[in-house]
This record gives sequence, C-alpha cells and structure tokens, in this order.
Amino acid sequence: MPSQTTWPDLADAAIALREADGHGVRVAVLDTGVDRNHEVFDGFELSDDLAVSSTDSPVESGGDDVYGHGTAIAGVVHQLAPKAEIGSIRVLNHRLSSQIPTIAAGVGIALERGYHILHCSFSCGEEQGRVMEFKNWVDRAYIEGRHIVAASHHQNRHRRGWPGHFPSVITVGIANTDEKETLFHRSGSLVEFGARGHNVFLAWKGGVYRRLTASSYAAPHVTGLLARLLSAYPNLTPLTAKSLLAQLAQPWEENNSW
Amino acid sequence: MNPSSLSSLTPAAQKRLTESLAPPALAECHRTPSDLARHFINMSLRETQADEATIWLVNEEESHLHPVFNTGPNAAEILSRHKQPLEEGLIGMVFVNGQSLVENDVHLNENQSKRLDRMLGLQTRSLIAVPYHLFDRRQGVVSFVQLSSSEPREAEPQRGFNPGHLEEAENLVALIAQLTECSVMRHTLGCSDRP
Repeated sequence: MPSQTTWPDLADAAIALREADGHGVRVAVLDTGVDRNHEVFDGFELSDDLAVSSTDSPVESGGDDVYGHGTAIAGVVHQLAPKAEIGSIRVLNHRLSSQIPTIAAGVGIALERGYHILHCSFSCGEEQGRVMEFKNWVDRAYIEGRHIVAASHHQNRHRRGWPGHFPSVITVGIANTDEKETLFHRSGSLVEFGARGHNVFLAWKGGVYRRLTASSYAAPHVTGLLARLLSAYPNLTPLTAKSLLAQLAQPWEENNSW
Repeated sequence: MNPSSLSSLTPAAQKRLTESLAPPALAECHRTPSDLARHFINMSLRETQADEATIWLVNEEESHLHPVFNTGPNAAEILSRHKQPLEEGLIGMVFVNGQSLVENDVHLNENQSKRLDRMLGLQTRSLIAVPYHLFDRRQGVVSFVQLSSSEPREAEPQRGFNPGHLEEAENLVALIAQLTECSVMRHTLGCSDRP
C-alpha cells in the first residue's frame, strides 16, 4: 500500500516546487531512448539505458534514441530537476509506436528498479479496447506508491486515451503559456493538468535542437516539477502528490487554453 | 421491438457492412463526400488556416496510404498519381502509432517524406495529421497542410499551426467519421444505394 503522509504546508510546498532540484528522485522515461551524448546532458549519467521487448530480457540501448522523442522528454525533465536520476527505458520504436506488452514489460522493469516516477509521453486511443492491459500496470504502480505522468491522447480533453484516463495518473495537456515552470489545473476531465507544450525548444537526437508542439512535450514539464516536489516530500503518495500539485497550480482557464 | 426478432438479419447485415468497409468501396465512398461533409471540411480549413486537407485510406495490404479526397487545386494529380508507403513519412507514422501530430517547419524534419512535395513542386511547411477511425478500426489519416512554393521567398509570411488548430482538426475528423459511419450504415440497411 502507498505509505501514509501528512499534508505538507502549502507555502513550503510552493517553495519546493520553485526551488527543489529533484535530488533523490528517480524518473523512468519510457520512450524511444535517450541520446546521452547530447550537450544538454553534459556530465550527467543515465541510471539505466535499456531497450525492452515483451519477449526477451532487456538489453543495453547504447545511448541511442531511435527517433529523438525520448531525448526531448529527458532533456526537459533534466532541465527542471537537474539532480533527479533519469533512467531511459526504450519501449517505443522509430515510428513512435509500440506493442502494449512491450510497454507493460518496460513498466515492470521500472517498478522493479525502484523508479519513483514513470513518465509516459505516449497514449493508446480507446478505439483499440485494450484498457485492462493498461489498468493492470497503472494499478500496480498506484499500489506500490509510484507516480505516473502521462501525455493526453487528444487535444480534446474529453476523448479518452490510455494510460492518461485513469484517475491515479497525472495527465497533461498543452496550456497556452511560454513559462516552463508554470503548472495549470482544471477540473471536469481526467486531463487535469496543463503545461507548456507549444513551440517548445527541445534537445533532439544527433546533438541538435528542435521546436515542436505536442502534449508529449508538456508532460515532462510536470514530471520535472513533480520530481522537485518529491525531493522535498519523498513520502507523498500518488494521490496526495496529485492533489498537492492541483493546489499549487494556477487555474487552467479560457485565457490559457487554446 | 424484440431484439431477437432481428437476429436472423445479423449475418446479412454483417456481410454488407464488411463489403462496404472493403478498401475499394470505402475509397469510393470518400471520393465524393456529401455536401454536409464538404461544408464541415471547408469550415475546418478556415478555422485551422490550412491550405489543403487530404483524406488518406490504408490499402488492403496495409502497405500504403492512398489519398482519396483532397481539397486543393492539384487534387486530380494527387489522387491519381500518388500513394504513400506506410514505412515512410509522418502521415504513415501517425497511422501506425495512432496519435495525432502537429508540426511546424516540417520540411526540416528528416522523418517527413518529400515524395508528394517533389511531385507537385511545393513545400509542406506545417502539418496536422489525425488518425481516422471507422467502426472502431483505424482506416487512415486526415492531413491538413500549410504550403509554400518549393523555394519560399524571404517575404513569405510564417504561419504555422497551434494546439487549437489541432483540436479543431481532431473534432472535424471525428465528425467526418460519424457522417461516414452513418452513410455506411444506411447503405448496409438498404436505405441508400451508395455507402
């Protein structure tokens, strides 16, 4: 069961959100791999660098990103929480797609290796009817007290996708902001959190940078902020952390929506 | 009405539905969208500030996406001469991974296929691509593009899509899918001649 925790003082938590560095927090980036030679990671070592399949044991990925997406995600997390450990667990291929069992295998490895935050900048649409396969590992993470941050599947927040549309997941859409450390929250759908995701300046594989737009790139801003919070309050349960982030966020209203 | 009284019709309905959803029939259905569908497509072009929209359907072998409807001036050429390998380019990637994409300066992306641009002598500068589902099955992709000449002049205005445009496009694609499903069902039930 998730450990119990006392509710932090909101003013102190706000300071942690602004000033903590992610020390002691382990983030698993389940994505396309990370180009560890990119200058954005100068002097920083990945704690894991694995490529996963559903049938074989994980293998060393060799610091390779098969698309660029994972490098972008890890870069944002590292910039916001520079002392957080980051492990790259490659579950997506060069077409940004995967098999659901591969994702489940990657999540299993992340949980076994003690990662506190599972970052999922991917989503499966509800049309595929595979919800239970996601629920199995989302529930396991919740029971073990691990936090999942996911990108929304659609820009329309009411249309579902997995793993984002489970209540225990912190699901992120694109807010209309240029501020990388500003978090938004709204009720009314399971895509509760918003962060910068439009024209984001991102590290990319091959040592280059790109400006891109997607909820994929909004979500790691929230992961970075969550890592800051957890470094100050390591015993926060998933739902306590989610509630605390909601209280610390700005209202996500018309003027910061698209 | 007692549902069991309709059960004897189910096999025939399923057979007709399967026929209507076969790639050749589905392509034919999209080549001439209804006036209502055209109205919504044109409206979304205005809302997204896109130059063109294209409906792409996957072929039977699931190797290529075929354009079956295009709103631009080169529609006849695109529809008759082009097909996009699924293994190549961002539209194929969106079909494979099932997630929408919005990308500006897409001509700078090495993963973007240049085949169609080369054929038309144009440059796709910004792209929205949304997976297209019918009856809970992924059947293709709908793309929205902003174009420039193949060698844009400095003076050409920089435009680009934003997340609001993506939401508009996703909503339009959902609407087109519902209109198409309705049309296919009417045909399946014998209420119209064409799906």
